[in-house]
Amino acid sequence: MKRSELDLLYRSLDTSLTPGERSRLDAALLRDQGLREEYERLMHLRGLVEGQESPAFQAGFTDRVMERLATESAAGPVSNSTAEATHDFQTALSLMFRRMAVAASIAAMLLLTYNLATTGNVSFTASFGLTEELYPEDLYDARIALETEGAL
Amino acid sequence: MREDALKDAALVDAARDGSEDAFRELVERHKDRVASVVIRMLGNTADAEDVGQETFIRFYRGLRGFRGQASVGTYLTRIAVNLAISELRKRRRRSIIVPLAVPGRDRNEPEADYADPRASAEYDDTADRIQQALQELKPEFRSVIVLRLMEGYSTKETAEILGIPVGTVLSRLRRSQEKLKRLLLYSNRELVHETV
Repeated sequence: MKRSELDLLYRSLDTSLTPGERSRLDAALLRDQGLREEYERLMHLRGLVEGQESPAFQAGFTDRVMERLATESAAGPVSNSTAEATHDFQTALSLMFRRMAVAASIAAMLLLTYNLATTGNVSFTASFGLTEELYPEDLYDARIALETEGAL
Repeated sequence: MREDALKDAALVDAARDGSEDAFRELVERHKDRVASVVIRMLGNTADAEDVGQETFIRFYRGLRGFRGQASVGTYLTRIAVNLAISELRKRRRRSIIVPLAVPGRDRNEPEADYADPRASAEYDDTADRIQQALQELKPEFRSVIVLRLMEGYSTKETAEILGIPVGTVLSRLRRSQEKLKRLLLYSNRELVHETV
């Protein structure tokens, strides 16, 4: 089964083909058993989906809509616009946060790579650009101090 | 068809002028179409009823801006499907798994009042499986199946309702059908066509 012929088969079910495409598909269907089986499967699937009963709302739907309309009209039209504005703001905030998070992650990765490359030292502190810090205690030799004081 | 459009246009005009009865009649005339779209998109849940009501509330608020370029039915379908997609995205964000409610099966949901003319266990079973398979599709894919195959809109109309190019509808239809085929035909021997 050729991919291009399978494409034609799918397209033929939802849009009109050119005469050339139609004759190519017809010829392929005559020749190819696999394509014919695929056509049967698709038609069966579509039959199942299309044959479903239409669902409906529970009785009294129209009354409930009219009641809600009356309630909301009494509350004034502001409530809807406020709700929409809040929703828009939340969406915009969420979108902005995502963009910032992506940009910050990229910047952090670049910084880590730069630090590792420039220090030539693969360590946790090097990756964050930290130097190996020396504390006074590291320089202070207790033995020398004790000797000076005559304790040793 | 033309008569329906004229009647709708007259009702829209009257509703715009403040006639509550005219708007009530519009709801009555189009509620089944809206129900069909939102329940197929969301399952038969309380959310579906809310989205259905919201569809008509938005329509009412937008009456002044409604120019009649699309039919009332198509316009309402557009609102309904967009609200349903939005609701599905909210559900996904909240990570709430909304159980599929099949009429009379979910104790938390009131039973829908539509009668199944083919009320047999076999039919219910197939309908459940199809509804469950639909829920496996992402909202943008589910919407093309609902509009094109279940509601019977043409590919062009589906594209217009969803505001996407025809080519996108075709590619989404293909991917959706491939997934439905895997879910319904290959995983379930009883549903496989005799010739397959």
